[in-house]
Amino acid sequence: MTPVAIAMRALLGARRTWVLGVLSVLAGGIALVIRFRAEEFRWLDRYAEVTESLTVPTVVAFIALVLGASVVGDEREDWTILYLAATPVSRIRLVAAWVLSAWVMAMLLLVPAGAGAAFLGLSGGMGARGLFWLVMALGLASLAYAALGVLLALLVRRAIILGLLYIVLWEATIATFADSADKLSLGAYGRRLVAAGVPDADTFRVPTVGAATAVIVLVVVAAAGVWLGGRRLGRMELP
Amino acid sequence: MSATIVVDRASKWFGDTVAMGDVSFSVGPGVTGLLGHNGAGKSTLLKLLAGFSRPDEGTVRVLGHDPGREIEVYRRLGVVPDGDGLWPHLTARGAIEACARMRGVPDPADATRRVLERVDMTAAAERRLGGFSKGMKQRIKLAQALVHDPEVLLLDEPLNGLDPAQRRDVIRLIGELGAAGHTVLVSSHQLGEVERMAPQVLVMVNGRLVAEGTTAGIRDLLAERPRTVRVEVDAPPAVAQALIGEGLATSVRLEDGVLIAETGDVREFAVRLAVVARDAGTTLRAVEPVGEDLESVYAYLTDRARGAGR
Repeated sequence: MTPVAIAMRALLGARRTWVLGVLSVLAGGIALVIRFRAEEFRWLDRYAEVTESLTVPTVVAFIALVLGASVVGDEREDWTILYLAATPVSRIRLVAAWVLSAWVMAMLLLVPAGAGAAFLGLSGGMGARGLFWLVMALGLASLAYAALGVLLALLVRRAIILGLLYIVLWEATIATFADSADKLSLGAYGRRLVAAGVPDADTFRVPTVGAATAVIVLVVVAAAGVWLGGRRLGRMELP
Repeated sequence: MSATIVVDRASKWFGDTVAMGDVSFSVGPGVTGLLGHNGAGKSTLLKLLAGFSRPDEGTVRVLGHDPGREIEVYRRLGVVPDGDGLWPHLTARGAIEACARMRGVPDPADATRRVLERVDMTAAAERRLGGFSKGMKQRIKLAQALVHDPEVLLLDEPLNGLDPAQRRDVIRLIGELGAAGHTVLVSSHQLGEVERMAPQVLVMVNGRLVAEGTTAGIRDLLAERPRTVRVEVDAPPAVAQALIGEGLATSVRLEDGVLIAETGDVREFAVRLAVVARDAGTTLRAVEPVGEDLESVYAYLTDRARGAGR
């Protein structure tokens, strides 16, 4: 059993994980309701609205960041982090394992939310290209958020509360409405990837950067989170 | 004997509180007890040695490595931390095997099987750790520390939560490890417990190392300290006079009809008190030391360390 397997078991056994799953199911349900209540020619517009205001900046951010923070927070609270620390496994590898496990669990939990959004978009005619970019958006945004959650939990004690404040105040509010703030928002780059899959992306409010840049930004944020987390873990005082 | 653990003028403080100050010592293979009351700095010292914390001043070395920076040392170092934390969702076998795998043990499954047998936990191997008692958790914590057969073991209060039979088994196991050439540093706040485990002892008081040497030597040191003894006899004045006259007590006083004697040699006092009482034509009803709690013992060692050096 590796650090990834240990973390996955911990996440699977936590009630918090299943509450996050309910959030995803609700988001998927909302997308389906919109699909069946909206007029046919508005489906793609509604897809843009759902993904840019609900799926990416709220559901993905919430699930991935909370899972990332939880996986470290639980190890710290239970003192089991000591058994991981008392191994010759490099600290960057340990942090990468936490990010990976939080990311895998986030992707599993995001299936209902992603499926609902995908159904809405496909109904509006976005096609396989749109589906590909939606999956890319969910995958890379959740990876970056998971890394951010892990890093936060290594830096502060109340990482989940701090993370939720960040999501509510910044990602889901200011960064969604203020054009000048979107370049400093992980969710905005995720939304940019969703928009890359839609032929007429005018309905999306996204940063004025290319999809490739958005991919690079999200990957760099995730890698930086792992690297900084590894450095922090190597220097922090353990309980 | 080559030193496997070397601590050189190490200090650690948290804000204005000095958790450990200017501690230096070295130990080699065998069992060494780390004795001190709660809050004496034992756990702080063990955390520094385990690499979970870093000294603010001075250095710590385990097998020549700085455990806070050189993680390769964990292939040769086993740690039983304080606290009950174990992965509650894993089975005993799963948790120990994970530790073995992460520490690079060639055959983790076989090493896990053997160490579970060694701590007598084979029967509970497939149970989840979340349902374990404190005593069972202690044995699993010991098993994970032993699974990679480390040269150095740091054990923080490993007997906590064990029943008498389990204590006996773990003390025997620690003795075997020391006899086999492992370096074992084991902390406890009970002198009697340390005596049973370790021929060598380090005594910490208020973050400082106040005594070190053989356990028997520390016991002698403690025996030599001035002691107060409460003596209940039928004729206290006669016994008091005899104690002073024989040079067995440096001072005596009566408190509610009970004789309180100060002595510089408690062994001699104990041996000759009965004779003195008999010669005084009285009967001893009760004899008990006053101030035998650990705090007073440590206070004596602290004063002694301040006055004469170690």
